[in-house]
Amino acid sequence: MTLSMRPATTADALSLAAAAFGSAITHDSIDAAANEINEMPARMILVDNGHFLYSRLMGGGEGIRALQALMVATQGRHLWLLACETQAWRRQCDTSQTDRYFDEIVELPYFERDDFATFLAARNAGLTDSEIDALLKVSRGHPALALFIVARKRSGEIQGIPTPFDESPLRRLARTELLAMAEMSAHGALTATELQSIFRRDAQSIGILLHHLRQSGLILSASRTEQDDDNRLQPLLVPEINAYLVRANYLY
Amino acid sequence: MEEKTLAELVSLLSFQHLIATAVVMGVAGLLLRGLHLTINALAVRYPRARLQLAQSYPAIRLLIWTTTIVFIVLVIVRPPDSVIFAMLGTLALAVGLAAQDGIRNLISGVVMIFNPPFRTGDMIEFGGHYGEVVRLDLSATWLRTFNDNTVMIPNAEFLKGAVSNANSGALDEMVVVTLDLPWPRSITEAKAVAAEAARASRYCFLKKPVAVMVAQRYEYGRFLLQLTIKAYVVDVRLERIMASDIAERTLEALEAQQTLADTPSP
Repeated sequence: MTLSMRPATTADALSLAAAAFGSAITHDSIDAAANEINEMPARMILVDNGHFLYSRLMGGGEGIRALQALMVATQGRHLWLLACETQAWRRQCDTSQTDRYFDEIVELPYFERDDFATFLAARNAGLTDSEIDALLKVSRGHPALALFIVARKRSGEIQGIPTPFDESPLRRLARTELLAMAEMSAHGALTATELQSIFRRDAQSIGILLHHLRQSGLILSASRTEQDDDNRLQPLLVPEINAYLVRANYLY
Repeated sequence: MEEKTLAELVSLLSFQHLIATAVVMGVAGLLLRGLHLTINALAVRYPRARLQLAQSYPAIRLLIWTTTIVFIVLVIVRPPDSVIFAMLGTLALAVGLAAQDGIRNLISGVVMIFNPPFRTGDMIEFGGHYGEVVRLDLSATWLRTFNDNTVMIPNAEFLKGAVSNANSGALDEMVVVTLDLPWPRSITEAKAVAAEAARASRYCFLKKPVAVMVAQRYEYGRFLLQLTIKAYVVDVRLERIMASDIAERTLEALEAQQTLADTPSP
């Protein structure tokens, strides 16, 4: 089950469950749906994009609570696997104590030195030991960022491994912009409408805020629905931006 | 004997000694200025360590000035024993005579450095003033209130009365929001909305719990439901903004539920 948006209502949660277990679920209450699911053959359900199971929006918790209740009520028979970004997971644990409902929690940090070198060798990056060290420092072991830098080096856009991330664009941001980026990190992605609700601002203010962040190269926007775009941190810069936001006390 | 000591003292006040003393004090002043700027720059770069950095400055300043004075006396001036004893006697007399406000504040400042009731960056309430401790000197403490006023309080006052410290060195602190709602209404619903409003506030520190307390009051000739919302703010400087944000969200949500539709004005 790949979540593509936050379940807002109990009906949304039941629709997701119906998609995961086939369209056999016909009941409109969580208890009845759980009973029905518990009579089905045991199966494993992987829930991807788990960051959509956190919401700071007023009134936005009903669907999430319903889906979580369904997972808890059926975990005796079915194996639920939840894949979630680190910051979103931490926030879920802070607000819903989600970690209590899972038997095993596996954290997958970015690469350490040895794994990083093996990964780069497998991709024929052709780097010396010192370049690998420099790349590890710049990328913090983030594989996609490392490959991006290697590709730029190969294409001649850059001569060597660049110096560590330049934080100056972050230091120039206003408090609201930093808070918006922190919420995007904790939620994985947010639409302009969701940001309006979290920040209690009008559409124009949020539009200007997002435009500035996009122009600064710190966030990306991608279509989620016809009306609204998803806004998320620039994936290549996630480790650096998160580190800055934690240091500046906007994330925890 | 006294004339001899006085003559020795005068002889110590040579032009070279005065110049050397001025140079050493100037260097100490510049060192402190540089240290202050460095600490401010570090606090901007590492906001999470802002309080620890600010708290270190008063102790370092005391250390530097003490070292400077000891250096001037023992290395530059190098007075004979008789002058030292005479100066100590004079100092003791001054302290004895002026066990009054200035000295008392100074001694209180030293006591507060070693046994601090609060530190720079803490939010304290004292003598009717509530604000952030922005400067902690030997003789006085400066608060910045939420109205952006700077309040100077002599240090001796702090050792006489009770000081309320809201965060005790932490960046987060509890914010209490009290709302009076018309009665009767659904208590469960009102509590749920208030708790959700607190958690929805972007300033709320979600690692700590949110609590909502309920009480009933009688005012304006009718009963009121009083909600007391307790939540932690992520940074003490955002305390009032968060309190307002929670109140706005709670009232808006209750209004959206049309629970305030028939509210009579007081």
